[in-house]
Amino acid sequence: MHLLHFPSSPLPDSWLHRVDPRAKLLLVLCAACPCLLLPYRATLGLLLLAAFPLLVLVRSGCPPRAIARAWLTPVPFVLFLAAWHPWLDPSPAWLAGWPGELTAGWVRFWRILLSALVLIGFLLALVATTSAPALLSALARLGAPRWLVLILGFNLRYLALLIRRGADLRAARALRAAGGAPLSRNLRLSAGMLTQFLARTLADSEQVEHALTLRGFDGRCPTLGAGPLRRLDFAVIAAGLAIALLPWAASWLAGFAR
Amino acid sequence: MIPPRILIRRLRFGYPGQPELFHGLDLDVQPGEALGIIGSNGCGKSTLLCLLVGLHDSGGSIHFDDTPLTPPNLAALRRRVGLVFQDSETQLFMPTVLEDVAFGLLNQGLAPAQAEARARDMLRQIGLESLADRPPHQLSGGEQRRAALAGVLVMQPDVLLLDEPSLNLDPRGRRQLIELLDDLPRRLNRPVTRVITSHDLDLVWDLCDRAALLDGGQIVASAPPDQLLRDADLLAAHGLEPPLSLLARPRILPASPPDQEDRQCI
Ligand SMILES: Nc1ncnc2c1ncn2[C@@H]1O[C@H](COP(=O)(O)OP(=O)(O)O)[C@@H](O)[C@H]1O
Ligand SMILES: [Mg+2]
Repeated sequence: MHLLHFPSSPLPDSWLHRVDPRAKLLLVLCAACPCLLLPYRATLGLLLLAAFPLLVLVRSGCPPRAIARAWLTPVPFVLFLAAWHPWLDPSPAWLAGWPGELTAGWVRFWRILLSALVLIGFLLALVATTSAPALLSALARLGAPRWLVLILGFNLRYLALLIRRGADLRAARALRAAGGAPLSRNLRLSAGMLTQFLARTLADSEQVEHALTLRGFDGRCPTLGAGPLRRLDFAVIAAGLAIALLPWAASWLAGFAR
Repeated sequence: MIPPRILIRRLRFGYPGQPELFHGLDLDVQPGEALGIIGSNGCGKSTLLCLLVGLHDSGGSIHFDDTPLTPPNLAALRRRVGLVFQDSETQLFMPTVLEDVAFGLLNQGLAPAQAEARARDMLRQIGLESLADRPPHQLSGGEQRRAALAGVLVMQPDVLLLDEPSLNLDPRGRRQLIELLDDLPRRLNRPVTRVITSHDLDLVWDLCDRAALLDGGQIVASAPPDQLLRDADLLAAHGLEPPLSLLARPRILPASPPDQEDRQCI
């Protein structure tokens, strides 16, 4: 199961699909570092980072238009978060690589926008090429707290169950053709369906809990081991480290040139 | 280890806000026997199995040999008693089939490598080897049932409780299930008690040493299947119909020993 599935992509298999999820997770963590830690004046260095997941996604056979759509979908929300800043802080500031003067508010604006684009890009590359179970066990093996992995996993699992239940109810209703009825009746039907849905999911969750306790679950969740990392995986981690340092290097060079 | 004898005495239970379902039910289950519990829809078959593993509080008493089913003994008893739900989908909750089957073993404290080996072995025995890395919700109903069964069997219970195991299985899957369950003691090389609820009377006919008829919160009759299931009047009086097909044929297991290949793959 892939969290994100590009419908028209060729067979979901490429070198990136075959990289160990642990290595890919570390790569994303590497990419997150400059987003958080880079000095504000070096913000434009993040552009270098944003190019990387794009390149990787296209190279691994994901269709560019689908990538663009997935990448840009969250942008309005990010803009909403970032758009305040130019008004909040009009003090002058300097941004490496920017032609001319800028206010600190605008620097912050670009920082938020670029950080978001970079993180979304890397996460996209991760979830488009890794199945959800693999990602979860990678998280566990990297030492993420068990409860976190467990909650994420159950939610994922439970989500599938919920979607199935919801789809069943909708199909049952459609098959018995309530569609042509007047609005008031349709509303009443929908309310009834919702109650049904909630009652069923409640019963489901009780069953899941029973199944857990009967098999000795006591709150801990040991997981199966994984094979060792291979050369490709180490290469990806090394690339992640190099990429993370790139913006610093660029800003240092820019400062040097100035 | 010899399975425990199960003694149920004066069992009382009702769901909150509903009329009492069992009013003083008595039942014994002998070590190693295959007992079929039959009864019409809603007579409480599933509930009875849940009570046997202490999922709800009940009145009366349930003993496994001399050990009463009480909170202090629950964990130990649940290690010996496995329950396969009627709705397998809710029983499978790990990200992949393999991890789901290994779940109970890991909870028992087995090392991951050992747990994985045993889980894979169980999946092979049950014919799901090729689906080990798939998420459970992508399996068909029959495959989910087998996965759920694997997750319970891998823990090597002495007592196996199965709720409507043949539900949603196609004829071949059903026959394989019957063979697997019948063959279980030989495979595991030890006796295993099987308590099977079903309104699939053919299944009970084929698999069980004894059938018990549940109605009105009581066990109203208990006898070998070829006696009880032939008693059309008794069945009719408790809302069941003897399948005509069944009366005309012998039990399938002794009559047609399954070929070796099929045995391997369930
Ligand atoms: N969780 C529950 N809450 C309330 N009533 C229930 C619950 N589960 C089952 N029942 C009721 O208890 C009765 C017995 O149910 P069940 O044991 O599932 O019967 P069977 O398995 O024989 O079909 C039914 O009338 C059913 O409606
Ligand atoms: Mg039932």
